[in-house]
Amino acid sequence: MVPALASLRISIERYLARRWSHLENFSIGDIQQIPGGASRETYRLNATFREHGESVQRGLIFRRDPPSSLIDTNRALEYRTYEAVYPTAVPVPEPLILEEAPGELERPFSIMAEMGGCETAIANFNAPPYASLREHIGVQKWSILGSLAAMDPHTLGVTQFMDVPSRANCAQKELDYWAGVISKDALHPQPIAAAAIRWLQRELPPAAEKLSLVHGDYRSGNFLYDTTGKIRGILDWEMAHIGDPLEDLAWSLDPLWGWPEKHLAGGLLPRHRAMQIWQAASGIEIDPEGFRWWQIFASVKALAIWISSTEDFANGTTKEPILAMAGWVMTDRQNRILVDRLAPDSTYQYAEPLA
Amino acid sequence: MIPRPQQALNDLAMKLIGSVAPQTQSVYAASNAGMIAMLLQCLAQEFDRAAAVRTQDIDELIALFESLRDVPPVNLTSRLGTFSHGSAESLRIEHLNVRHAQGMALLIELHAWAETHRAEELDREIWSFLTRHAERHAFHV
Repeated sequence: MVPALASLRISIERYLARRWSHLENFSIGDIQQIPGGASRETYRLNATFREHGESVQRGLIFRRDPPSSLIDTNRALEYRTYEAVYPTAVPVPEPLILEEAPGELERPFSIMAEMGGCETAIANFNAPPYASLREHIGVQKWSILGSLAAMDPHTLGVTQFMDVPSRANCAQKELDYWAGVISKDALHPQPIAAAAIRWLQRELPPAAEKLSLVHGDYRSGNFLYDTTGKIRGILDWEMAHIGDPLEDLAWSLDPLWGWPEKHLAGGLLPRHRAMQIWQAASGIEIDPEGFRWWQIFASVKALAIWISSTEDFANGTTKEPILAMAGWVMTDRQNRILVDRLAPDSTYQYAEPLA
Repeated sequence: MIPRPQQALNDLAMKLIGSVAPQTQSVYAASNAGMIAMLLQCLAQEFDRAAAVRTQDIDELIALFESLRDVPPVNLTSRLGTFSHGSAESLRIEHLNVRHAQGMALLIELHAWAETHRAEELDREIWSFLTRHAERHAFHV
């Protein structure tokens, strides 16, 4: 084991043995850093202990703030969102510990229950055994998103720790934030992003039909599925907020998540089918005008994240390859998607015409 | 000197993905090796074309600025003219980037002006440029 990893294992073991002092013989047998958590360092841990006279093994996921991150996020907000969603029909891993004191393990962290035997990789959808499960996974994916949209944020309890915009201004609020990220972080002038932002300012959508808890990054790659194709957990709630549920739907359908297959949203289902499933599950009829806006917004928000990653890679202290990947490959693809969608003479090479 | 750096970078990417990544025991390290290999392939493409695509963008911007039939405000027109008659300090990417950024910043202003003044033909020409620009800078990985 790498010395730094061995040392981290011991520190976590000490911390958890103290925190869970009611458990006997607590130990961490193994620790592995895993990819996927772009905004947090993510580790898989195997804990063993005795409880009520029984020997127990439990997988844990330890997520710690890195020195710099893909998305500047609020870890407490994410953790409390997991707590709010966990008792509902939207599947998420069980949140166990949030530690915000940096002194405990160098930087703040959270611990969740591991959902064993699951995958997140999008590439799996192209080959057996998962290729035949695309439809099954896709139906669940947009049904779950629809059921999230149908929930009342007050009943969920997220209004206690999230800002509540008005139905009329939630689009402007999101646009202002992400346009600000581009303005702050772009290392080079961005004429495509600038044109898209001006379009969004001109074409602001009608007021949201309702306000919902918006996941903020609901896409293929951010949910766990098992070998039967059952979706077991929705991950990465770090950009969760209250807003127009059309925002999540539009984000989930961005052509980037199924790249280069523009006809299958998220590499799973035709866009119109995904929209039908979402409508049925949410009880919300999609307003074409508003949805058109949210689809352009989705690409601009993604572009903002990639531009911010570029800046982070260039000027930050964490030289994670995923930051460079986002800054180069993703920025390029997102630019091509936006041009495809906004250019008057578009041939729609990378994206289908807006629904 | 390796006369074909593009090929050398691609070969290194293949070595990383074919020989190094499979032998790493850590999932995290293997994933990073895969990403670095992909980035090396991007770098190979960029190494080969970096000067060409920037110069093409700049040349097309100059052609666009010089062919304006709709007349933007004097302040902007004079800056477009200054840009069109300028040149990069050298062919180093660092210097081409400076000139490229100047041209792109002017394009953003011109595009905003075209939209607010309903200069539809100019708007179309700018989108046409942006389409070519996006294609030129695409990474094929």
